[in-house]
Amino acid sequence: MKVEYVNPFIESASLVLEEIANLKSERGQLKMKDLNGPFRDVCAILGVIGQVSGQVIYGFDEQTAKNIVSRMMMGAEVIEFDEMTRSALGELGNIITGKASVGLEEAGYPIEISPPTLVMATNVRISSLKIPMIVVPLDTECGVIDIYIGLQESS
Amino acid sequence: MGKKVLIVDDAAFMRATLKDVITKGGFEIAGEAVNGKDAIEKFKACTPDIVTMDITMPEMDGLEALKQIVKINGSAKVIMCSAIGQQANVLEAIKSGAKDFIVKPFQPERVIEALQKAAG
Repeated sequence: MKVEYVNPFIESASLVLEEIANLKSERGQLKMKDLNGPFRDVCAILGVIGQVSGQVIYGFDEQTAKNIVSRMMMGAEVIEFDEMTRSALGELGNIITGKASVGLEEAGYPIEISPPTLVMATNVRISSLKIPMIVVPLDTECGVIDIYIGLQESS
Repeated sequence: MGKKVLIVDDAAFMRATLKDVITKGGFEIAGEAVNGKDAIEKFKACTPDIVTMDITMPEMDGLEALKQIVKINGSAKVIMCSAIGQQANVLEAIKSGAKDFIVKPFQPERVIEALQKAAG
């Protein structure tokens, strides 16, 4: 894990949240994720392959996720996690990662991105992930978004 | 008679957003497709005037679908609409026959401008 991998995501998330959810965000203290600890209840998982590979995961509490999707839909009320809500969260992860990929390419790490996978469960533990992850917490009016970044240089 | 647009994106949210922007811009919706393979079938079935094409999709991505659609109809008007704005992607899309490349997140005006340019 290198800090150069992380900065494009921080910049991208801030811009994208403003543009598509009209939401200002403030970066909290970066930390390493406890390898065995759970992720937040709602996670949009994006696979990354290229000069660096691994996964980037956008984690939210359930209410935070609904609040953000409501903003993405111009204030429409979001009551349950239907296909549209899940799709919106996946697309948020997709757009942030896509924009970050431009920054990564400029830093010398071109990548490709998989379509998003949405996971919703309490106490999610994803055992296939062995790559150490940096957690970037973003504080917003809707709640906290944790961006888990697990990337390593491809051999 | 408004120009008909085929919307291709794996995200229901994005298809709904684009549908709203496109109809407000005075265009009609020819149909929707959820991945590259679906896009090719719908292209043949709905004969749209313009196609908006996402890139990152399961089963077949948008760049591959673009190439196949252009093989079916050399004058097909395909506008890429993707989160991945890396230069290499944009260049490959244009070289493969895309008329324009819109990077997400987009302003509605950008989409309408691209559609109007493609409609000619």
